Amino acid sequence: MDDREILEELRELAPRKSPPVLKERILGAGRARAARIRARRRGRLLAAAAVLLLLGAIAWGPGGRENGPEPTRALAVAARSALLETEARKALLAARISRLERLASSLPGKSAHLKALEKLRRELDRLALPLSLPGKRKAEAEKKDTKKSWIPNENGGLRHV
Amino acid sequence: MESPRKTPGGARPDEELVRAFQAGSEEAFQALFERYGDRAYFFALGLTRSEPLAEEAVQEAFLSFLKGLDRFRPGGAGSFRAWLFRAVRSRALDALAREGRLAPLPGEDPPLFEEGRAGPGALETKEKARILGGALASLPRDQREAVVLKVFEGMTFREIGEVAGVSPNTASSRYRYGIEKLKFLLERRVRHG
Repeated sequence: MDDREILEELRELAPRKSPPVLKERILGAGRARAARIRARRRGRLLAAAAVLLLLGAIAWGPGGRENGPEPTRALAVAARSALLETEARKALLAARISRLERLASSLPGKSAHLKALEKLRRELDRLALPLSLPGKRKAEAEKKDTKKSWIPNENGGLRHV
Repeated sequence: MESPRKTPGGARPDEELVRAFQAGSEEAFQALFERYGDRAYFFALGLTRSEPLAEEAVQEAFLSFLKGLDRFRPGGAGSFRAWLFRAVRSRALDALAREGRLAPLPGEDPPLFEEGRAGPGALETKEKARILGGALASLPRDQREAVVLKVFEGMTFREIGEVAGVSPNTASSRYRYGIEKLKFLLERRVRHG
């Protein structure tokens, strides 16, 4: 008997198969895993859609182009209300940044100004994503916006509103 | 990699199935299991010579694949098949060590081959399955493993080495000794009836 004969004899035999119950258990686990993957991907798609919505609003919203494609403008309209509450703070921050930039370029004590500038820039970046504001911080921002303010009255003084 | 990436008949390669499963296709996982489930079980049965331990080893290996799926890189360091057989081997040896035995008791050695085929020549096939299965089961574990992976999986010695954690030369020696011993056992049986 040589090697070839032994190999032929072995290959003619049918190896034992796994029991059906094992197959069911493993395939069941595989199905559950695949379902979790699909659910996670759906979640990511929704997050991406939210980002697109925001980008659309920034591109076509206040200060952006007026004549964008119809669907994009519709997105912008939907998202604009979410942006409005931060528009005022953004404008204020932009003005402060601009002023600090001028100061930083001309005055002594440059590094302190630059640090302040960096802080304000980070604040501005954060405000560029109003939808991600945590509930508590958002509520605080709204509260600050509704604070009473002073306006000139007819006598040349200030009136509390 | 020397292993065939495609199965005969133009079936989808393992790496493609793994990627599809990573994207959420349960059919891809089913195809992978259909391709390797029985083969992994046979390998585990050969190692453990125990049906419950073989089942456990295969199940744990597949569950480990499911758990680490995100980190699995198809076509990376090695083939899916080599990874799977390595995982099955590792779980099988763990199970054997836990059970505190390295060989089954007399009479409880499960058959390695199907014996229940009906029709002409059934008796001869059954007898052949019993004799060859018995001879294969009596080989030392390392040699048995090398023979099973070479003969039934068609692995190269490099792949066998990857699975068993040894060099290709060692894998080749184990296979050679295994075949020599099988030949000796079968010839002795012929001589002595």
